[in-house]
Amino acid sequence: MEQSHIINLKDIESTYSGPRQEQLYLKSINLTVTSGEILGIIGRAGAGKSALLRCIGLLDRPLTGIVSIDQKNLTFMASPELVVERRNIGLVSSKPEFLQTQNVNKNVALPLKIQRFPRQNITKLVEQALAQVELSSKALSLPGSLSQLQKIQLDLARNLVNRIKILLCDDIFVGLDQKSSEYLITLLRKIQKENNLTIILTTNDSDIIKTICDRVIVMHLGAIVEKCSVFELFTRPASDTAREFIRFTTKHELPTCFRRKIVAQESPEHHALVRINFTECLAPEEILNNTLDAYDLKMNIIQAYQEKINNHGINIMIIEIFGDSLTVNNAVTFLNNNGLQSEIIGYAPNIN
Amino acid sequence: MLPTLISALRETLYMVLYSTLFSMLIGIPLGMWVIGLSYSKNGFNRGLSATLHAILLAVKATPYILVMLLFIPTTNWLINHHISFTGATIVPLSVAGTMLIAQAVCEIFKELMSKWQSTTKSMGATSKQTMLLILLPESLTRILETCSNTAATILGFSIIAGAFGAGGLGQLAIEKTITEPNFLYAIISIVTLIAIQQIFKYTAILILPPKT
Repeated sequence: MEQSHIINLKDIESTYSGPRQEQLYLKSINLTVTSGEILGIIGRAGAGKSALLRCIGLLDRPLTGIVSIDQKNLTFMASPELVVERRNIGLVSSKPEFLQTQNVNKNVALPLKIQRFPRQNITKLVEQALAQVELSSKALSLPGSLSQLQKIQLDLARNLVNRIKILLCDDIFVGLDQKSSEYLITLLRKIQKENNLTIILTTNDSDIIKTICDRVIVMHLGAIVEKCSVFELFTRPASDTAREFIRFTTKHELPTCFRRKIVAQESPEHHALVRINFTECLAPEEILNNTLDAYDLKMNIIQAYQEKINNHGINIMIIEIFGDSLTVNNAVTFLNNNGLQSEIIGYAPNIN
Repeated sequence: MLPTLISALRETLYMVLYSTLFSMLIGIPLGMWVIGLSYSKNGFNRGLSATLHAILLAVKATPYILVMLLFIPTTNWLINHHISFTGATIVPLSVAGTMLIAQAVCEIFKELMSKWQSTTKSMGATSKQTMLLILLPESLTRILETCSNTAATILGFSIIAGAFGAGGLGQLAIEKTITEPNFLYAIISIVTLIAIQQIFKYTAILILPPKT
């Protein structure tokens, strides 16, 4: 099936009226999202992740640039038409607002009441939406009595009842325990398939990116600094933000206490630390052992990480190699030529 | 003594209940209208909203005795048209009450609007739908609570009106204390006023849905 671009952002810039002056918080954003895709947005706090979501949902109009949703340019659309178009885009946040004195059923029915649906249809659609998010048992409860996970489920149901095409999730995993997060991921996948949704989510949790996203964009200071697949993010991070993001998940970097001791310049009192990165490589251990034997070098494995992301194996190892620097450099070059992506990341002091 | 007290109490309740009713009927829609204008895209509407909001705050800050003075021409006109002083006092009391309720409604809606703005926009609700279908039911408890508090404030204002000769418990207590002097009327009036305030408060608690 041919996939089309459901979201197209071109040269988006947006400002924020700060206490003293206007600040640019989205800079030259160009982005296309394919229909049915799950896109993750990562970045530090204040990088512009939520601002970008608000821009896609046309909750804030951009200062310049074009926002096209489903081949329609919404940027300059007049308010009455925009109100209708916004119904295709759902927004779920970690702190959703509900009618506190109305039960779950009535909260889910709210978007339909706004659109003046007949009462019989409302009951049916609300039941369907609650069944989809697996919250039918709480239909008569008040929102105040729900857990954080159930509140997110309710917010999802309230969006689904609107028959949305795009779902924007703003940090919805915040405040959820591990089990609830896993459940929510499964639920998102299920509703994405059932409704052919395009999902864009912001998070700072690498496990969520790994398990649910197809593609990732990395944001820093209001700009997109990297667009890549999840696999590329975890194997070949190009930006500092991405490297920082995966540092503790994939053991791409050494722990901070070790890193403090590492120096950049080689010396007789130090030995090399080498990071070896391989994905689809036949017999990597054999290549590594043979190389070190051939160059008469000794090594210790400091840390190693192995996982499957999008059906690709990821292996990252950091080893210390003892020997003179020229031989170590030659060995690293040899490893690189044999499919083991290797680099010297620094020099650690010898322990006598 | 008892018939005098009952007659004064009847006058006070007449002033307070009618004034509160008029204040609610005008104050709630006025507050909603002012806050609705402030979210308009039209600059004139926003300016109008800011001006009305400033007027609401100014009247709220004005001591009630001055509001009574400002309404002397209206009160005189009503008295000349065969309406009692007590009845004529309902006008300044209602104006003061309306301003209190409208200003409180503005604050409540402003706070709720900031919380709900993203949600309602993404639901595809217009400003009018947001006000009527979401913010009004959501704020109903707080608005009714405000009305109950306003009724208690109007009760206090009615005592000031009594000093002008508008009747009620205020006039009775002031007259009897200064002319006779008999403090018993003043003490009974104070106890009765406290009792009425408590009745307003507990009626509100009984009517209102539980707070969430």
